[in-house]
Amino acid sequence: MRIQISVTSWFKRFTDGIAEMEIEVSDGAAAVEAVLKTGIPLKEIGFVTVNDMKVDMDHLLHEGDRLRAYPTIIGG
Amino acid sequence: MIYEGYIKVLYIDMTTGKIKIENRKDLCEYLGGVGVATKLLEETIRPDLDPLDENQPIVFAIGAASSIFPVITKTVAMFRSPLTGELGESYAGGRMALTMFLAGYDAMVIQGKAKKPSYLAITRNNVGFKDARAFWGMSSDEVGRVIRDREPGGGKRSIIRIGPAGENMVHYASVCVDTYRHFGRLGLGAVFGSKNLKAISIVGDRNLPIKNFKEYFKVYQDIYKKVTDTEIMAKYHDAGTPINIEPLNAAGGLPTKNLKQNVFEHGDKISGETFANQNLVRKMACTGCPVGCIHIGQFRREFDKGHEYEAVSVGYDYELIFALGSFLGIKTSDEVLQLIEPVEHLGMDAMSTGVVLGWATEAFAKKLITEEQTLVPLSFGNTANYIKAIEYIAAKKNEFYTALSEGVEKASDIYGGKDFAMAFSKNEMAGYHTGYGMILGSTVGARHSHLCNGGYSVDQSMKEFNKEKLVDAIFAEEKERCMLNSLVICLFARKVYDRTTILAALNSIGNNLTDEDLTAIGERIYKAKLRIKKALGYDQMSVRLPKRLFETPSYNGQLNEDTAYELIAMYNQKIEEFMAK
Repeated sequence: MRIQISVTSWFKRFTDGIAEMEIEVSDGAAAVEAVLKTGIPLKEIGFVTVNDMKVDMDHLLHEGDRLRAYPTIIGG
Repeated sequence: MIYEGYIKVLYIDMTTGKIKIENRKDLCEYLGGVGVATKLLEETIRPDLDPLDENQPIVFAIGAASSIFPVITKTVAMFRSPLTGELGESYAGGRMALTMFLAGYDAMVIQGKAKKPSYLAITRNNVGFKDARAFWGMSSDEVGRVIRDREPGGGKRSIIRIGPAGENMVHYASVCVDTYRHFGRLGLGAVFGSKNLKAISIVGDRNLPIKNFKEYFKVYQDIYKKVTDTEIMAKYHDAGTPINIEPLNAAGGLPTKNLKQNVFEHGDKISGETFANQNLVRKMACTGCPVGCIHIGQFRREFDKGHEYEAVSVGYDYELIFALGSFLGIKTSDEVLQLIEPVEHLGMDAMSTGVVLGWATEAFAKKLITEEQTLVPLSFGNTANYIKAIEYIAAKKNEFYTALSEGVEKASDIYGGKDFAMAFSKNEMAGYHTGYGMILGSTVGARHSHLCNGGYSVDQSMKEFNKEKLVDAIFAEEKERCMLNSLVICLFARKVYDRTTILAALNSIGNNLTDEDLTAIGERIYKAKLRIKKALGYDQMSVRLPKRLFETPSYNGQLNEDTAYELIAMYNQKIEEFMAK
């Protein structure tokens, strides 16, 4: 199945400058599988949203879902 | 002092104009930085006197490896906070640590009050007490410029100073360090004002060869490589901490409009990416830091009719964008910078200023206060009126603004609205509505700051909420940061400076400590802080949490008030056991 992925500006360094992409994942794939396909190291991921809802990385995806990856919150 | 078996302390008496220097071997067990400063504060603080009494001390200290390794760039200041009435602890970068190191002082203790407005000119061999009457009333920016012209030592000099808010003893007045860096929180600027102390210039010009250069350079290169060649620090240089706006807003953790909301509908207009694309003009670094996390933004201001414009540059980071942006409903990056500018020049803590104004805006809407008191109608998003209100706070324009100048706790004591007065133990909240970690960490933290133990970070990393694990994590981090801050490492680099790296660094400059020593140092410092807090009358079990924290969902969903108080009680129990050991 195909899903839409978008990433924040910081992550574009891992995706050849691409902010939005459509990728193919296996049926019943979890969010983590889709994130791995973007090339973003998992340790960089703070959380993801699917269809604008914050979800865990083991959240199961469906055809046409929109996943967005966010970086970890930084600070002192 | 590096290669010496003592801590060199410079004592300055503003009342008599006398100084003394002591080489304190006994302080070595506190290593340096916050450890030494805590011990010196404990020795000199006066629990029986008001925080702004002239007999209260200001303590500055650098660490055992300050300026010798990358990113060990900060100086700690300790004092009795006029905002909270208890432990005041604040950190600043810039050049101050390097100049103290090269002037030969590990710590400075300033007591007393000058008869007239004064500034101090500190060098390796002398302390000058100089007349600052002509500077009184100047902005922190102006006085910095004037002292730069008057005092020698350019390039090897740090100038720290207050603005009018510090002179007027606003309880959250800041001290500006070398432009764009600050001792921001808890009101050190007011303590300067209480001593008639407008500024301090420090010139450090000695040469200090490293003894075992080969070993030192190897360690230095390893650390430098970690800092510059890996992703660990890259975010701080890139768009910087403002990248937090987007994830916090998406996850419902961005305090907005006095935390009436956890998501800001205009978040994308004040995001890190927006600032980088529209305002960022320059990046800077503290001396000795290869990262360069200081982001300078620019906005255009019309200063006269007929299309007369000036470009105004101000520093920005996440906390400022939260406090003077989303928290006040400010819709554009330009307007956020317009609010930062007067806060900077008047010399106030941006976080406290924003949170105090957030409370005032809601109190005004709820008719707890009137326009007769606020002088201008306050509403979320009204930048022009907020600029006026900021000026009124600094000037203590009337009774109402005098109350605001003492913090949101004091203002809500007088006018009501406690449930939405967003402070932890009288210190205005930071920009992370992330969950119980943030609430617990800010409440029990020695100085009630998110920086005491990184509660927001625990909220982010804890997969499943567990009370015991959360309390343990906050407690462990609080102690660890006491140790890290005894070196006065910039906490942005805390993942670079793990225990192995710290020991390698210290050992390479002849300070042979063990892992167990570091643990003991952290615990020793934490106990000293807790003793001071107790002497100042702090009672953790009597703290009040604003109900708004439990009305507006967080990054980790809806929070329960009883659970938060239970966590505080659990932590309190842990502290009592720790102190009894």
